[in-house]
Amino acid sequence: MDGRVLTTIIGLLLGGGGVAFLTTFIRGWSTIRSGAYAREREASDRLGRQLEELEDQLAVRTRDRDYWRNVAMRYSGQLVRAAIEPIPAEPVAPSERAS
Amino acid sequence: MTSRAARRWTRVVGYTLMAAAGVAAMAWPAPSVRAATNPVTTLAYVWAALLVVGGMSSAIGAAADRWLGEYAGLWPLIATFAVYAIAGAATGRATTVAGSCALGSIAFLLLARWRDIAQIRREAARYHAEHEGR
Repeated sequence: MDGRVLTTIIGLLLGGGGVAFLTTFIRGWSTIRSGAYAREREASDRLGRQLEELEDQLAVRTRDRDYWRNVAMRYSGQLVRAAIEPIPAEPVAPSERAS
Repeated sequence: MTSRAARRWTRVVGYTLMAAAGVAAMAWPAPSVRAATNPVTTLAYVWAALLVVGGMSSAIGAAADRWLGEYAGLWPLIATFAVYAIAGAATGRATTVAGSCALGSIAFLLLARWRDIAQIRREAARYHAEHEGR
């Protein structure tokens, strides 16, 4: 490789590295100045908290879903015992309808 | 020491060694880099300075658990290792192939680390915008 070409490539790489240092520092600093968290640890902690919140919400919704399902089954049994046909007679869940 | 702290301090040691390499290179410039930057000998010292700046920025950031240090400091390190790899390969000697490949691989590994840090920065900005930056 020609010496001048090599020197130019190296100069560009080093210049690019220096410019990238300045631009990323400014970008990161402005992100932190705007109030975003500065510690790397907070990222994993926050994701852990978010996962726990989502799991709690899922548990609540699953309990509610099961409760209403039981209520619907009781109502259906009461209707059948009263010789009233429930409508719909054979319900299909939306997810099963879609497939 | 927790595993998280151990990972962090392992990075601190690594980056500090890179900064130390830069200091050493200022006193005794790497022959391959000096030859590759001939006759613009200043570039060899710029290379060493970027190694120091990038190493110190990343080491301080890792030690203080601040992503900004690595976010800014990794790019000078990526550039310097890429230059070191190219300078070694430019000698044309078969004995430098292994070293050039090793140095080039470090540049790519540092780039992978920077992408992880960049993801953290994006998440920090997004979380702040969603929850507090209204």
